[in-house]
Amino acid sequence: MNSIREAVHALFLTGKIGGFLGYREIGGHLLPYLFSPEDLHELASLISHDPIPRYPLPKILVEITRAHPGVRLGLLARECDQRALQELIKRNQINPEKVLILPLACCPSDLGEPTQCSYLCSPTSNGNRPPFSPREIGQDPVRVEPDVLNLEDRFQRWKEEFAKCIKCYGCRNVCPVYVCKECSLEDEDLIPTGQIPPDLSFHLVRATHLAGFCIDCGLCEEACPAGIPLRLFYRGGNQIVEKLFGYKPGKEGEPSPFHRTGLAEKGSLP
Amino acid sequence: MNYRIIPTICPYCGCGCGIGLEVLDGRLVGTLPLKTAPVNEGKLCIKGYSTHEFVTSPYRLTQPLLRGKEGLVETTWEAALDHVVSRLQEILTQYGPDSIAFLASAKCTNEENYLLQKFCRAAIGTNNIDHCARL
Repeated sequence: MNSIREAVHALFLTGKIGGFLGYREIGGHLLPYLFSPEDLHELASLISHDPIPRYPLPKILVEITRAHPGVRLGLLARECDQRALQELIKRNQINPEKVLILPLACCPSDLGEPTQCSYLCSPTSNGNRPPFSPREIGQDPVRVEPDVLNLEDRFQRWKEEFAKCIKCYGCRNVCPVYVCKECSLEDEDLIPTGQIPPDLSFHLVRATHLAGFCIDCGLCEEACPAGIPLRLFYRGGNQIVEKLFGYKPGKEGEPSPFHRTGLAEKGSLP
Repeated sequence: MNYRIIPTICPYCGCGCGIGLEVLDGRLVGTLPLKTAPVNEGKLCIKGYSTHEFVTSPYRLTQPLLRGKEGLVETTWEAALDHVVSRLQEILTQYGPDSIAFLASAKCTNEENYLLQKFCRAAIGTNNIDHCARL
Protein backbone atom coordinates (compact mmCIF):
# COMPACT_ATOMS: atom_id res chain seq x y z
CA MET A 1 0.00 0.00 0.00
CA ASN A 2 1.49 3.33 -0.94
CA SER A 3 1.63 6.42 1.23
CA ILE A 4 -1.37 8.26 -0.25
CA ARG A 5 -3.61 5.20 0.17
CA GLU A 6 -2.37 4.81 3.74
CA ALA A 7 -2.99 8.48 4.42
CA VAL A 8 -6.54 8.36 3.04
CA HIS A 9 -7.21 5.16 4.98
CA ALA A 10 -6.08 6.86 8.19
CA LEU A 11 -8.15 9.98 7.45
CA PHE A 12 -11.24 7.82 6.94
CA LEU A 13 -10.66 5.85 10.14
CA THR A 14 -10.18 9.00 12.23
CA GLY A 15 -13.25 10.57 10.63
CA LYS A 16 -11.29 13.60 9.39
CA ILE A 17 -12.80 13.34 5.92
CA GLY A 18 -16.12 11.93 4.71
CA GLY A 19 -14.96 11.23 1.16
CA PHE A 20 -11.86 11.34 -1.00
CA LEU A 21 -11.81 12.54 -4.58
CA GLY A 22 -9.06 10.79 -6.49
CA TYR A 23 -8.61 8.54 -9.48
CA ARG A 24 -9.28 4.88 -10.15
CA GLU A 25 -9.52 2.64 -13.17
CA ILE A 26 -13.02 2.12 -14.49
CA GLY A 27 -13.56 0.10 -17.65
CA GLY A 28 -9.96 0.52 -18.75
CA HIS A 29 -9.90 4.29 -18.20
CA LEU A 30 -8.31 6.22 -15.33
CA LEU A 31 -11.14 8.43 -14.10
CA PRO A 32 -12.01 10.70 -11.17
CA TYR A 33 -13.76 8.76 -8.40
CA LEU A 34 -15.14 9.64 -4.97
CA PHE A 35 -13.89 7.11 -2.42
CA SER A 36 -16.07 6.65 0.63
CA PRO A 37 -15.28 5.51 4.20
CA GLU A 38 -18.11 2.95 3.86
CA ASP A 39 -16.16 1.15 1.14
CA LEU A 40 -12.65 1.08 2.58
CA HIS A 41 -11.71 -1.92 0.44
CA GLU A 42 -12.05 0.26 -2.68
CA LEU A 43 -9.01 2.26 -1.59
CA ALA A 44 -6.86 -0.53 -3.01
CA SER A 45 -7.84 0.76 -6.46
CA LEU A 46 -6.88 4.38 -5.71
CA ILE A 47 -4.28 5.50 -8.24
CA SER A 48 -1.92 8.05 -6.80
CA HIS A 49 1.09 7.99 -9.05
CA ASP A 50 1.60 9.43 -12.46
CA PRO A 51 0.92 9.20 -15.29
CA ILE A 52 -2.71 10.03 -14.55
CA PRO A 53 -4.75 11.85 -17.19
CA ARG A 54 -5.80 15.25 -15.90
CA TYR A 55 -9.49 15.96 -15.26
CA PRO A 56 -10.85 19.13 -13.60
CA LEU A 57 -11.02 17.72 -10.05
CA PRO A 58 -11.62 21.11 -8.31
CA LYS A 59 -14.71 21.69 -10.45
CA ILE A 60 -15.98 18.19 -9.59
CA LEU A 61 -15.28 18.95 -5.91
CA VAL A 62 -17.51 22.04 -6.14
CA GLU A 63 -20.28 19.94 -7.74
CA ILE A 64 -20.11 17.43 -4.89
CA THR A 65 -19.90 20.00 -2.08
CA ARG A 66 -22.90 21.90 -3.46
CA ALA A 67 -24.93 18.72 -2.96
CA HIS A 68 -23.24 17.86 0.36
CA PRO A 69 -22.11 21.14 1.98
CA GLY A 70 -21.56 19.59 5.41
CA VAL A 71 -19.07 16.93 4.37
CA ARG A 72 -15.32 17.47 4.48
CA LEU A 73 -13.64 16.02 1.42
CA GLY A 74 -10.09 15.01 0.71
CA LEU A 75 -8.67 15.84 -2.70
CA LEU A 76 -5.77 14.39 -4.63
CA ALA A 77 -4.36 17.65 -5.97
CA ARG A 78 -1.67 18.47 -8.45
CA GLU A 79 -0.10 21.90 -8.39
CA CYS A 80 -2.64 23.19 -10.93
CA ASP A 81 -5.50 21.71 -8.87
CA GLN A 82 -4.15 23.49 -5.80
CA ARG A 83 -4.03 26.81 -7.67
CA ALA A 84 -7.62 26.29 -8.82
CA LEU A 85 -8.71 25.51 -5.25
CA GLN A 86 -7.16 28.76 -4.01
CA GLU A 87 -9.05 30.82 -6.59
CA LEU A 88 -12.32 29.01 -5.83
CA ILE A 89 -11.80 29.58 -2.11
CA LYS A 90 -11.23 33.31 -2.73
CA ARG A 91 -14.51 33.43 -4.63
CA ASN A 92 -16.41 31.63 -1.89
CA GLN A 93 -17.14 28.61 -4.08
CA ILE A 94 -15.29 26.26 -1.72
CA ASN A 95 -15.17 26.36 2.06
CA PRO A 96 -11.47 25.87 2.94
CA GLU A 97 -12.45 24.06 6.14
CA LYS A 98 -14.26 21.44 4.11
CA VAL A 99 -11.28 20.47 1.94
CA LEU A 100 -8.14 18.58 2.79
CA ILE A 101 -5.44 18.44 0.15
CA LEU A 102 -3.23 15.44 -0.49
CA PRO A 103 -0.68 16.77 -2.92
CA LEU A 104 0.28 14.76 -5.97
CA ALA A 105 3.85 15.49 -6.90
CA CYS A 106 3.66 16.12 -10.60
CA CYS A 107 7.01 17.73 -11.09
CA PRO A 108 8.96 15.61 -13.55
CA SER A 109 12.23 14.32 -12.22
CA ASP A 110 14.69 11.52 -12.67
CA LEU A 111 12.97 9.77 -9.77
CA GLY A 112 9.58 9.49 -11.40
CA GLU A 113 7.73 9.18 -14.65
CA PRO A 114 6.73 12.51 -16.20
CA THR A 115 3.07 13.43 -15.96
CA GLN A 116 0.63 13.90 -18.77
CA CYS A 117 0.52 17.63 -18.08
CA SER A 118 0.88 19.40 -21.38
CA TYR A 119 3.00 22.06 -19.89
CA LEU A 120 5.64 20.76 -17.59
CA CYS A 121 9.20 21.18 -18.67
CA SER A 122 12.22 19.51 -17.14
CA PRO A 123 13.72 21.33 -14.17
CA THR A 124 16.93 23.19 -14.81
CA SER A 125 20.22 22.24 -13.17
CA ASN A 126 19.42 24.27 -10.05
CA GLY A 127 16.15 22.36 -9.60
CA ASN A 128 13.83 25.17 -10.63
CA ARG A 129 11.47 24.93 -13.53
CA PRO A 130 12.10 27.32 -16.39
CA PRO A 131 9.37 29.88 -17.07
CA PHE A 132 6.48 28.62 -19.17
CA SER A 133 6.67 29.14 -22.88
CA PRO A 134 3.91 28.71 -25.45
CA ARG A 135 3.30 25.16 -26.54
CA GLU A 136 3.06 24.27 -30.15
CA ILE A 137 -0.11 22.60 -31.42
CA GLY A 138 0.07 22.16 -35.16
CA GLN A 139 1.00 25.80 -35.52
CA ASP A 140 4.25 27.64 -35.56
CA PRO A 141 4.30 29.08 -32.02
CA VAL A 142 6.53 31.93 -33.18
CA ARG A 143 3.65 33.23 -35.22
CA VAL A 144 1.50 33.63 -32.11
CA GLU A 145 4.22 34.86 -29.81
CA PRO A 146 2.84 38.23 -28.70
CA ASP A 147 6.12 40.10 -28.91
CA VAL A 148 6.93 39.05 -32.43
CA LEU A 149 4.09 40.75 -34.23
CA ASN A 150 2.83 44.29 -34.19
CA LEU A 151 -0.62 44.92 -32.75
CA GLU A 152 -2.50 44.78 -36.02
CA ASP A 153 -0.82 41.60 -37.25
CA ARG A 154 -1.25 40.00 -33.86
CA PHE A 155 -4.98 40.71 -33.90
CA GLN A 156 -5.19 39.25 -37.40
CA ARG A 157 -3.27 36.20 -36.20
CA TRP A 158 -5.66 35.63 -33.31
CA LYS A 159 -8.66 36.06 -35.61
CA GLU A 160 -7.22 33.26 -37.74
CA GLU A 161 -6.98 31.09 -34.64
CA PHE A 162 -10.56 31.83 -33.56
CA ALA A 163 -11.86 31.14 -37.08
CA LYS A 164 -11.07 27.48 -36.31
CA CYS A 165 -13.44 27.44 -33.31
CA ILE A 166 -16.36 24.96 -33.58
CA LYS A 167 -18.05 26.39 -30.47
CA CYS A 168 -17.99 23.09 -28.60
CA TYR A 169 -17.73 24.92 -25.24
CA GLY A 170 -15.02 22.43 -24.30
CA CYS A 171 -12.68 25.20 -23.06
CA ARG A 172 -15.36 26.26 -20.60
CA ASN A 173 -16.61 22.78 -19.74
CA VAL A 174 -13.24 21.45 -18.63
CA CYS A 175 -12.09 24.67 -16.94
CA PRO A 176 -11.46 23.85 -13.25
CA VAL A 177 -12.34 27.36 -12.08
CA TYR A 178 -15.51 27.60 -14.17
CA VAL A 179 -18.27 26.79 -11.69
CA CYS A 180 -20.87 29.48 -12.60
CA LYS A 181 -24.53 28.56 -12.34
CA GLU A 182 -25.35 30.79 -15.30
CA CYS A 183 -22.94 31.44 -18.14
CA SER A 184 -22.55 34.59 -20.21
CA LEU A 185 -21.38 32.41 -23.09
CA GLU A 186 -24.95 31.14 -23.37
CA ASP A 187 -26.43 34.65 -23.28
CA GLU A 188 -27.91 35.35 -26.70
CA ASP A 189 -27.57 39.10 -26.19
CA LEU A 190 -23.82 38.82 -25.65
CA ILE A 191 -22.96 36.03 -28.06
CA PRO A 192 -24.97 35.83 -31.28
CA THR A 193 -26.26 32.28 -31.80
CA GLY A 194 -26.45 30.16 -34.93
CA GLN A 195 -23.00 30.82 -36.40
CA ILE A 196 -19.80 28.82 -36.62
CA PRO A 197 -17.17 30.02 -35.93
CA PRO A 198 -18.79 32.04 -33.17
CA ASP A 199 -18.56 35.80 -32.97
CA LEU A 200 -15.24 37.02 -31.52
CA SER A 201 -17.23 38.06 -28.44
CA PHE A 202 -17.30 34.36 -27.44
CA HIS A 203 -13.55 34.34 -26.86
CA LEU A 204 -13.36 37.88 -25.55
CA VAL A 205 -16.03 37.24 -22.88
CA ARG A 206 -14.16 34.17 -21.72
CA ALA A 207 -10.82 35.99 -21.75
CA THR A 208 -12.27 38.87 -19.73
CA HIS A 209 -13.75 36.52 -17.13
CA LEU A 210 -10.50 34.59 -16.83
CA ALA A 211 -8.19 37.59 -16.50
CA GLY A 212 -6.70 37.33 -13.01
CA PHE A 213 -8.63 34.10 -12.47
CA CYS A 214 -7.11 31.60 -14.94
CA ILE A 215 -4.74 29.28 -13.09
CA ASP A 216 -2.86 28.35 -16.26
CA CYS A 217 -3.48 24.61 -16.12
CA GLY A 218 -3.90 24.25 -19.87
CA LEU A 219 -6.89 21.88 -19.71
CA CYS A 220 -8.75 24.18 -22.15
CA GLU A 221 -5.99 23.91 -24.71
CA GLU A 222 -5.88 20.13 -24.29
CA ALA A 223 -9.65 19.95 -24.82
CA CYS A 224 -9.78 22.22 -27.86
CA PRO A 225 -10.55 20.12 -30.96
CA ALA A 226 -9.41 23.01 -33.16
CA GLY A 227 -6.00 23.37 -31.54
CA ILE A 228 -6.41 27.04 -30.60
CA PRO A 229 -3.54 28.11 -28.28
CA LEU A 230 -5.99 29.11 -25.55
CA ARG A 231 -3.45 28.93 -22.76
CA LEU A 232 -1.37 31.59 -24.40
CA PHE A 233 -4.50 33.67 -24.98
CA TYR A 234 -5.69 33.59 -21.36
CA ARG A 235 -2.18 34.16 -20.11
CA GLY A 236 -2.39 37.53 -21.87
CA GLY A 237 -5.26 38.51 -19.57
CA ASN A 238 -3.32 37.37 -16.53
CA GLN A 239 -0.35 39.48 -17.62
CA ILE A 240 -2.54 42.58 -17.80
CA VAL A 241 -3.92 41.93 -14.31
CA GLU A 242 -0.43 41.31 -12.96
CA LYS A 243 0.79 44.56 -14.50
CA LEU A 244 -2.14 46.60 -13.14
CA PHE A 245 -2.67 44.99 -9.73
CA GLY A 246 0.49 42.97 -9.12
CA TYR A 247 -1.69 39.88 -8.72
CA LYS A 248 -0.97 36.33 -9.87
CA PRO A 249 -3.82 33.82 -9.53
CA GLY A 250 -3.46 30.63 -7.52
CA LYS A 251 -1.51 31.75 -4.45
CA GLU A 252 -2.84 30.97 -1.01
CA GLY A 253 -3.99 33.89 1.11
CA GLU A 254 -3.13 36.64 -1.35
CA PRO A 255 -6.42 38.45 -2.01
CA SER A 256 -7.56 38.79 -5.60
CA PRO A 257 -8.15 42.38 -6.82
CA PHE A 258 -11.60 41.18 -7.86
CA HIS A 259 -12.19 39.80 -4.39
CA ARG A 260 -12.44 43.33 -2.95
CA THR A 261 -15.33 44.25 -5.23
CA GLY A 262 -17.65 42.27 -2.99
CA LEU A 263 -18.60 39.84 -5.73
CA ALA A 264 -17.10 37.00 -3.77
CA GLU A 265 -19.03 37.90 -0.63
CA LYS A 266 -22.28 37.52 -2.53
CA GLY A 267 -21.14 34.11 -3.68
CA SER A 268 -21.52 35.00 -7.34
CA LEU A 269 -18.99 35.04 -10.10
CA PRO A 270 -18.68 37.84 -12.64
CA MET B 1 -22.80 10.50 -1.14
CA ASN B 2 -21.62 9.03 -4.38
CA TYR B 3 -19.73 10.37 -7.40
CA ARG B 4 -18.39 8.37 -10.27
CA ILE B 5 -17.75 8.67 -13.99
CA ILE B 6 -19.09 5.96 -16.24
CA PRO B 7 -17.06 5.56 -19.43
CA THR B 8 -19.11 4.95 -22.54
CA ILE B 9 -19.35 5.91 -26.20
CA CYS B 10 -21.04 9.07 -27.45
CA PRO B 11 -24.52 8.17 -28.73
CA TYR B 12 -24.49 10.59 -31.67
CA CYS B 13 -22.49 10.22 -34.87
CA GLY B 14 -20.47 7.27 -36.14
CA CYS B 15 -17.07 8.59 -34.90
CA GLY B 16 -17.54 6.84 -31.57
CA CYS B 17 -15.87 9.32 -29.23
CA GLY B 18 -15.24 8.15 -25.68
CA ILE B 19 -17.28 10.06 -23.11
CA GLY B 20 -17.55 9.86 -19.35
CA LEU B 21 -20.98 10.34 -17.82
CA GLU B 22 -20.76 12.03 -14.42
CA VAL B 23 -23.11 10.46 -11.90
CA LEU B 24 -23.69 12.28 -8.60
CA ASP B 25 -25.91 10.50 -6.04
CA GLY B 26 -27.43 8.37 -8.80
CA ARG B 27 -28.28 11.36 -11.00
CA LEU B 28 -26.67 12.05 -14.36
CA VAL B 29 -25.17 15.53 -14.00
CA GLY B 30 -22.54 15.99 -16.70
CA THR B 31 -20.45 14.72 -19.60
CA LEU B 32 -16.67 14.87 -19.93
CA PRO B 33 -14.53 13.72 -22.85
CA LEU B 34 -12.37 10.70 -22.02
CA LYS B 35 -8.69 11.62 -22.13
CA THR B 36 -7.76 7.99 -22.63
CA ALA B 37 -10.17 7.28 -25.50
CA PRO B 38 -8.10 6.70 -28.64
CA VAL B 39 -10.71 8.23 -30.96
CA ASN B 40 -11.07 11.67 -29.40
CA GLU B 41 -8.21 11.93 -26.86
CA GLY B 42 -10.04 14.28 -24.49
CA LYS B 43 -11.90 16.30 -27.08
CA LEU B 44 -15.60 16.43 -27.95
CA CYS B 45 -18.08 18.42 -30.02
CA ILE B 46 -21.03 20.32 -28.60
CA LYS B 47 -23.41 17.39 -29.15
CA GLY B 48 -21.22 15.01 -27.20
CA TYR B 49 -20.86 17.52 -24.34
CA SER B 50 -24.67 17.73 -24.12
CA THR B 51 -25.25 13.98 -23.94
CA HIS B 52 -26.47 14.03 -20.33
CA GLU B 53 -29.09 16.69 -21.08
CA PHE B 54 -31.49 14.61 -23.16
CA VAL B 55 -31.61 11.62 -20.84
CA THR B 56 -33.83 13.29 -18.26
CA SER B 57 -35.40 15.84 -20.62
CA PRO B 58 -39.17 16.27 -20.14
CA TYR B 59 -39.44 16.54 -23.94
CA ARG B 60 -38.16 13.03 -24.40
CA LEU B 61 -40.67 10.58 -25.95
CA THR B 62 -41.81 7.92 -23.52
CA GLN B 63 -44.35 6.15 -25.73
CA PRO B 64 -44.70 5.39 -29.45
CA LEU B 65 -46.67 7.98 -31.42
CA LEU B 66 -49.03 6.97 -34.22
CA ARG B 67 -49.94 9.56 -36.85
CA GLY B 68 -53.66 9.50 -37.53
CA LYS B 69 -56.22 11.94 -38.82
CA GLU B 70 -55.96 13.93 -35.59
CA GLY B 71 -52.17 14.14 -35.70
CA LEU B 72 -49.77 12.22 -33.46
CA VAL B 73 -51.43 10.12 -30.78
CA GLU B 74 -49.70 8.17 -28.01
CA THR B 75 -50.13 4.44 -28.35
CA THR B 76 -48.69 1.14 -27.11
CA TRP B 77 -45.72 -0.70 -28.66
CA GLU B 78 -48.09 -3.55 -29.59
CA ALA B 79 -50.41 -1.27 -31.53
CA ALA B 80 -47.53 0.67 -33.13
CA LEU B 81 -45.73 -2.46 -34.33
CA ASP B 82 -49.00 -3.99 -35.61
CA HIS B 83 -49.51 -0.84 -37.65
CA VAL B 84 -45.95 -0.92 -39.05
CA VAL B 85 -46.28 -4.60 -40.04
CA SER B 86 -49.64 -4.22 -41.76
CA ARG B 87 -48.61 -1.08 -43.68
CA LEU B 88 -45.27 -2.60 -44.77
CA GLN B 89 -47.13 -5.67 -46.07
CA GLU B 90 -49.68 -3.54 -47.92
CA ILE B 91 -46.98 -1.38 -49.58
CA LEU B 92 -44.83 -4.42 -50.43
CA THR B 93 -47.76 -6.23 -52.10
CA GLN B 94 -48.99 -3.18 -53.96
CA TYR B 95 -45.74 -1.46 -55.09
CA GLY B 96 -42.93 -4.03 -54.66
CA PRO B 97 -39.81 -4.16 -52.40
CA ASP B 98 -37.99 -1.16 -53.93
CA SER B 99 -40.82 1.11 -52.78
CA ILE B 100 -39.53 0.69 -49.20
CA ALA B 101 -36.33 2.10 -47.68
CA PHE B 102 -34.70 1.81 -44.26
CA LEU B 103 -32.56 4.25 -42.33
CA ALA B 104 -30.35 2.75 -39.62
CA SER B 105 -29.00 4.71 -36.69
CA ALA B 106 -25.69 5.51 -35.02
CA LYS B 107 -27.48 5.19 -31.68
CA CYS B 108 -27.94 1.44 -32.26
CA THR B 109 -25.35 -1.27 -31.82
CA ASN B 110 -23.53 -2.89 -34.76
CA GLU B 111 -25.66 -5.97 -34.20
CA GLU B 112 -28.93 -4.04 -34.39
CA ASN B 113 -27.79 -2.31 -37.56
CA TYR B 114 -26.78 -5.67 -39.02
CA LEU B 115 -30.23 -7.06 -38.21
CA LEU B 116 -31.93 -4.12 -39.91
CA GLN B 117 -29.98 -4.51 -43.15
CA LYS B 118 -30.64 -8.28 -43.03
CA PHE B 119 -34.35 -7.59 -42.58
CA CYS B 120 -34.20 -5.04 -45.40
CA ARG B 121 -32.41 -7.32 -47.88
CA ALA B 122 -33.63 -10.81 -46.91
CA ALA B 123 -37.16 -10.18 -45.62
CA ILE B 124 -38.24 -7.18 -47.70
CA GLY B 125 -35.96 -7.77 -50.70
CA THR B 126 -34.43 -4.35 -51.41
CA ASN B 127 -31.01 -2.74 -51.08
CA ASN B 128 -32.57 0.56 -50.00
CA ILE B 129 -30.74 0.93 -46.72
CA ASP B 130 -28.64 3.80 -45.42
CA HIS B 131 -27.37 5.13 -42.11
CA CYS B 132 -27.72 8.45 -40.30
CA ALA B 133 -24.00 8.56 -39.56
CA ARG B 134 -23.02 8.89 -43.22
CA LEU B 135 -20.86 11.90 -42.42
